Amino acid sequence: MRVYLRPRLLVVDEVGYLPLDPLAANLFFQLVSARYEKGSMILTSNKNIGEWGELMGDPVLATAVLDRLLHHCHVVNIRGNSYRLKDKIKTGIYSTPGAQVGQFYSVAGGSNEFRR
Amino acid sequence: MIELEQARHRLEELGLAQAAQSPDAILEAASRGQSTDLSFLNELLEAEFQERQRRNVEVRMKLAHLLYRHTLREFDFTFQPGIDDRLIRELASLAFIGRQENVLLDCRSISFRWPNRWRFAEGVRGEPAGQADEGVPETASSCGG
Repeated sequence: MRVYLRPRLLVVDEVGYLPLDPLAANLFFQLVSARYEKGSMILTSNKNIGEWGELMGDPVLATAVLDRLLHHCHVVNIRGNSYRLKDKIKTGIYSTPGAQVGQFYSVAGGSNEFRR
Repeated sequence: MIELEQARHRLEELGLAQAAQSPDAILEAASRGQSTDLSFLNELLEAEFQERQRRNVEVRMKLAHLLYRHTLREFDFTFQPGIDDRLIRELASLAFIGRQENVLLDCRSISFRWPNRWRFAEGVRGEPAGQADEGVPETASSCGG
């Protein structure tokens, strides 16, 4: 655990890519709890925050994790097409009509919220 | 100028290579009394510090074994208008680390329609053929990883 507590910044990529078993969920909670207000974390996730209960197999635990995580947190919502496909879209290999893309942005273009 | 050489030599001996190499202009200006002792010392140390930090970052980047080196400067914010570039630049200053704050990059529901030619030619996305043309199917979001 000390390995994950020492750095001033810990990056956890792809939270929610795989569901966590009870032990993993517990350890994740301990990690978040131990770093709470002590060290920063960057997390990337493709799961809705509401889905974290499912992901961790325990809504109560997920709430406790999110509570600590989001207390001092900048949430960056990234919506729209994958940046990896940018060049393909621009060169027209990608088939989505431009208008549709714009529409999609205006509907789902997430707002970035500051939480302090 | 003998003093200058001596100073340079000692800086090198002490391992302050960058300071030893710092432009003669600084040293000469200092020797002509155009800067205060303190500002000269600061300038010298600053040059050394900058160089060390640059090397430090370079080494760490190498150790990280990143496949590509993407920088924020290259990022096309017009492609992802949902992202507030000011917020991103603010975060890039890393001030949040000093405040022990977190950052959650939430890139869910990146839904898009896979081009037909990819679906059929490469057979990558195992979507049933019937679904192919119904609206915009929620396909795997590909954000991190």
